[in-house]
Amino acid sequence: MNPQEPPAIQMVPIRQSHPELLKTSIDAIQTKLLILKRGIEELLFSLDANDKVSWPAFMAKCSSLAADLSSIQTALRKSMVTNGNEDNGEFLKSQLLLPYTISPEVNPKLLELTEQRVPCWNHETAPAFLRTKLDPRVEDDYLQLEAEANQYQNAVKKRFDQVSLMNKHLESVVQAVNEQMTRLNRNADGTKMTYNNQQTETLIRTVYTGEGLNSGGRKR
Amino acid sequence: MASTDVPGESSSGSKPPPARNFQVLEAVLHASIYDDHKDQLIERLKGMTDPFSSSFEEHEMVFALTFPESNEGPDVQLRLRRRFNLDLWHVRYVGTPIADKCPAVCRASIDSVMYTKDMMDFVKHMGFRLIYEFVMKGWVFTRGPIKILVYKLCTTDKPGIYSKELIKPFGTSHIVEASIPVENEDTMKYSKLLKDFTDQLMPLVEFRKVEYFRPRTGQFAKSS
Repeated sequence: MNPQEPPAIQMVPIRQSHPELLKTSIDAIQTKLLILKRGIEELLFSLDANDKVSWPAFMAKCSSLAADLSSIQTALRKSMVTNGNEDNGEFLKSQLLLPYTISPEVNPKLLELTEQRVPCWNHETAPAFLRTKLDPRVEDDYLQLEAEANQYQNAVKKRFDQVSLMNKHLESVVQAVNEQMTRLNRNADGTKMTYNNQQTETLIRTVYTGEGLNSGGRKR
Repeated sequence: MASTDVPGESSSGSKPPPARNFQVLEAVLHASIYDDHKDQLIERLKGMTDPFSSSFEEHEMVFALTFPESNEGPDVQLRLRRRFNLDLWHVRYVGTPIADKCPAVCRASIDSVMYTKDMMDFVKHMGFRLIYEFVMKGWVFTRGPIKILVYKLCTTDKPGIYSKELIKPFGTSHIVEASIPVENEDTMKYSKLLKDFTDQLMPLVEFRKVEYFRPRTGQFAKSS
């Protein structure tokens, strides 16, 4: 009646499309995360060890950690496949993650793997780890920001419409003023026109088609 | 400096047509200028064109072969020009303009000069009938291959009689015509050359492509 200990890692017999690819990408993530973890540990040790820690050194370490985090983020976003095309994380996104066993018992293998941090994979830890939703506070902030952005967008659109309407009005005003100016100028100068296009047309038609001439049709 | 023409002396009419080769295609642009301003234009042209220019006064008669039964489009027109009291005839065939997107009117044009006393009989027996006639009085200028004519159209009250008293001007403007022969049927290139030259005469005159072969549309941009 000894229930079989749930293994720490369950090999699920699901056919994967690229098992080796998956393994390499997960290994890559893991190494990066380990480096990050080391960094954080060092930071905390340094704080514990001395009362006063050199501020610039501390800041430097923090910034390097931040850089590591952002590099992990970009890597995840692009593709963890080291030499593959950038598929924007499609490969990883397409992988399924299923919790196979959830049990309330303490799992020593899990303990070992996670360095004594996660004792059991039960109905509390599993959802916490597999959570995809943002922290509620973070989520609220996010929603607020989005609402603000939409508001701004509306305001921007309104301003844009106002400005373009203004432009149209100005255009018509300018055109009217221009017309009036030219009209006045022309009257003042006393029609400086040296030609008349209608006359051109009439005359050319007369020359080439005989329009308007009163002779015609007589034999010599 | 322009040389005025000596009446009575002429070898090929007042237009210098090339006696040897036929100009088959030409590109033409038209403009007009009020009579009072024509002197300005003449001065301008004298500055811009070759030194040789001459004035002319010629009587032009336009004959056409009509085919009443067939629908062969516009009639074949023949234009005969002569100075009064001379037996020298400048015969010109002007074809229908090609309707295309050129900035100038492009049409076929063949010139020929002959001396004969029986011209009227000849054309009558060929089947041509006179459809209209007029007198043109003006100047011709050249600039390389470009030919510019500035002339006034006149008619007579009594048909057939062209004495000095009866010649009346038609309209209040002079016609300005600029043409250039087109080689290799490259109408675009030569039309553009012509347009570039004629644009230099703005704003005194505005050269346009007058599509006289189309029916009148009725409206026009500028009004006096």
